[in-house]
Amino acid sequence: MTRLLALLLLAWAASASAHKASTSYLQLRVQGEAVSGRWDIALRDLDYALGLDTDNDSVLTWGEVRQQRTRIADYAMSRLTLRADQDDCRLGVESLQIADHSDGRYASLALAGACPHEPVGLGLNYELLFDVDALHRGLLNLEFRGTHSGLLAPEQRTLRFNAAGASTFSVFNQYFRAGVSHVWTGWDHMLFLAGLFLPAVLRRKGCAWLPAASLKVALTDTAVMATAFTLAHALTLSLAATGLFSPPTRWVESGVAASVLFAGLNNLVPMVYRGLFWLAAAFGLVHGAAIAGALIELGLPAGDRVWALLAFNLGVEAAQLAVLLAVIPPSFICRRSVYYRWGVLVPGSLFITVVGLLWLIQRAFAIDLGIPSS
Amino acid sequence: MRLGRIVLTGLWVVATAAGADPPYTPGSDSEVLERLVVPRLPGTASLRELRGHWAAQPTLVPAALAYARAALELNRREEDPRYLGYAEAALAPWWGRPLAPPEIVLLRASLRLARMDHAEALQDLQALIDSPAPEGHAARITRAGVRLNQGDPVAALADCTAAAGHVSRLVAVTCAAAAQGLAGDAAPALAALEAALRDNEGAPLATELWARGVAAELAQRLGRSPEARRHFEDAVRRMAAADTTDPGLLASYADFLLDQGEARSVPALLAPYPRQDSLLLRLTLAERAQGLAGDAAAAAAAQEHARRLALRFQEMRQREDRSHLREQALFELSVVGNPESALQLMQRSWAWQREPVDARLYLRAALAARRPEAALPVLEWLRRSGLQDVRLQPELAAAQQQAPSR
Repeated sequence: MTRLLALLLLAWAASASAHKASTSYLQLRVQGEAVSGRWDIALRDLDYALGLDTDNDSVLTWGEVRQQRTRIADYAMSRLTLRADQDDCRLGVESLQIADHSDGRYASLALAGACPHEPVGLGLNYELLFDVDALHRGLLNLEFRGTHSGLLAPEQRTLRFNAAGASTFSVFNQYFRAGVSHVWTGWDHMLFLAGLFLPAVLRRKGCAWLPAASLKVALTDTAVMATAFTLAHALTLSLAATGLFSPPTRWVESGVAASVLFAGLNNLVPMVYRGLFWLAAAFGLVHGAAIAGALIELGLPAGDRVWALLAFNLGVEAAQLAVLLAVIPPSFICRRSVYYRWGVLVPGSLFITVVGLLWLIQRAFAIDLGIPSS
Repeated sequence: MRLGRIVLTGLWVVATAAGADPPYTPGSDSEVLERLVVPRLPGTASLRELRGHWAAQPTLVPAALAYARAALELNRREEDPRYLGYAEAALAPWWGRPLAPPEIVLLRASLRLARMDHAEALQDLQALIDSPAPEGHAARITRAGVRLNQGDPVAALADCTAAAGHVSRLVAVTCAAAAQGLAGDAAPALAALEAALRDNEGAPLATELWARGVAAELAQRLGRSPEARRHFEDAVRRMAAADTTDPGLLASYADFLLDQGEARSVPALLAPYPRQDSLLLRLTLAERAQGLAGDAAAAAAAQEHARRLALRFQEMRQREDRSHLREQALFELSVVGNPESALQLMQRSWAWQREPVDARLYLRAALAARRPEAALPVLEWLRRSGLQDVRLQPELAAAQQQAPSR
C-alpha cells in the first residue's frame, strides 16, 4: 500500500512541481585549431557520480573538491569528445574553480586543447551523467564561425556544426581543402592511385616491359585516368551524400579493397591494358560511394550543398593531379632504369596487392587484421 | 513593441545566465560548498546502497525497481527532478518496450506523467487496467489524477469508483471527493472525506497528507476558510512530527495564507526550502507583499529571490522542460508584473492542465492584460464542468465588467 501511494501521489502532484533538473553548462570556442572553454557541472551531480564527500558528513568542502581535481577532470573528459571532421581533438582541464548558479555551486572546469587541423565540420559527443540521470541535460554555447547553442539529452548525445552561415567562398574553400586532405590522408585512395600511376611510364605487355614513348603521353594517360576516376567518383558521391542512394557500407568498403587489390595485381599480371580509364571510372563509382559516409558525417551546409560537393570533388581532382605531376616526370626519366622496374614498380605493386588483399579480407569478413584503413 | 520588449528581456536574461558569475577559487579548504541532503528512507537501505545493487545488475527487475521506487519516494519529499532522472535511468532497459513487467510499467507511467508525456503515460495505464495484474487498481487511481488534472472529473470519478474495492477506504474516498468536488458537489464530497479522515486514524502518513490537502482545497472552494486552515495546520503538524515534507501541500498552504492576507506567516513556513522553486516562488510573493507594506528588508529579499527565480525559469526553458509553465505564469504575473507573458504561458499550459488553480491564474492574467476575450476557453470549461469555487468569483465578476468595455 505504501509503495503504491508514493506512485499515485507523484502523479497527482506532478502538476505542482516546478524545479530545475540536473543541467551542465558547456561553453566552447573553436578558433582555427585551438579550442578553449568552460564547463560548469553541479557539485551535487559530481558527488552522485563520483562520491566526492570522502568523510561522509553530507557536507562538501573546497578541500574535498580540490583534492579530487584529477578524478573530476578525468571523469568529465571521458564524457566529452570533440571532433574536427573525422579526427578527435585533444581536450584537457586547465584548472578547476567554483561557480555559483541559481540552484547551487558548480565545479567550473577551464578547458583548453587543439584539433589536429582546422575543422570544416565540428562534431560534439556528450555522455555526462546520462547513465545515472535520464533527465540530465547539457546546455551548449559554442563559438565556431558564429555563435551556436545546443541542447544535449540522452536521445541527442551528438551535435554537429558545419560551415552554415559562412560565406560561399569560405564554404568552397573549406570543402575544397577537405577534398585535398581526403586524398592525401586516405590510404586506400592513395594506394589505388599509385596502382594506376606506377605503370604509366613502364607497362608490362606479355613478357616484355614497354617504356612510355613520351612524357606528354604518360601525363595525358594518367590525367585522363585521374579525371575519369574523379567524374565517376563525383557521381556516386553526390547521389549518396544527398541521400538519394545509400549502398551497404560493408559491400562498398570491400569493393574499394578489391579495387586496390586489382590495381596492384594488374601491374604484375596484366589483365587489362587498354581503356584503363574505364577501369578507373568503374572504381571511381565505388570509391565515391565509400567516402560519401565521411562527407555525410562532416555535414553539408543546407544552402550550399552544390557548392560544397563541387568544391570537395575539385579538391580531390586537384590533389590527384598534384600527386601525378610530382610523381610522373621523375619516374619518366628513370623509366628505362632497372632500378625503377625492380626497385619501385614491382615491389610497389606487390605492396599494393598485399594491402588490398588484407583489406578485402578484413572488410568482407569483418575480421580485424590490424591494418589501418585511412 | 511589447513583443520586442519581451524578447529584449529574454536576451538580457540569457546574457546574464551565460556570462553570470565568473568562477572563483574559495579562500580555504574548510569552506563549505554544498550540503548534500540525501535523507535516509526510514526502514530501508540508503539510495546509494540501492544504486549499488542496481548498478551491479542493471537488467534485474527487483534491483531496478527498489532503486527507482526509493528515488521516487525521495522526489515526493524533496520535489527534485534529479530523483526522477535516477528512476528513469534505472528503468532504461524497459523504457521503450510495450511489454514490460507490470510493476515497471506503473513506475514508467508515473515518470512519463512527470515529464508531461501524457499520451504515452495513458497508454501504459490503459495496458495495466486491461491486464489482470493487481497494478491495474493503482493505475486507475493514477489515471483519475490525470483526468482531474485535465479537467475531466466525470472520467476521474469512474476510475475512482472502479478501484474503490481494491484500495484502502481513505484512498478511495479522497479520490472520489476530489472528482466530485470538481463536478459541482463539493459540500457532500468534503463531508464524506472528513468522515473518512476521522475513521482512518491509522492511515499511512502520505495518504493522510494527500487527503488533508484535498479536504483543504474543497473547503476553500466552498469559502470555508477556518475549516481549510484546520486541515492545513493538522497536516503541517503531522509532517513536522514525522520529520518529512510534502512540498505540494506546503505550496497550497502558502497560497491559502497569501489569499487570506497573511503574508507574514509565510516566511517561517517556507524559509527551510529555498531549493524548491515552487516554494521559493511563494516565499518571494510573501516577501513582496511585506515589502509593499513597508518592510525594506523583505523587499530586498524579494528582489534577490526574484532574480534567482528568473534564472531558473530561463534555464528550464532552455532545457525545453514543460512542467513549469503554470509556476512561471504566476511568477510573470505576480512578481515580474508582465501579464501578457503570463497569459501566453497559461494559454500553453491550459492544453495540459485544467485545475481550478489554473482557471483562476488564467483569468487573472487575462484580466491584468486587459484581454478578457482570451479567457473564453476557461469560461466555457467552467460552465461545462459546473465547478464551484468562491475564489473565482471576483475574477468572474471582473471579466463580465471588463468584457463590454472592449
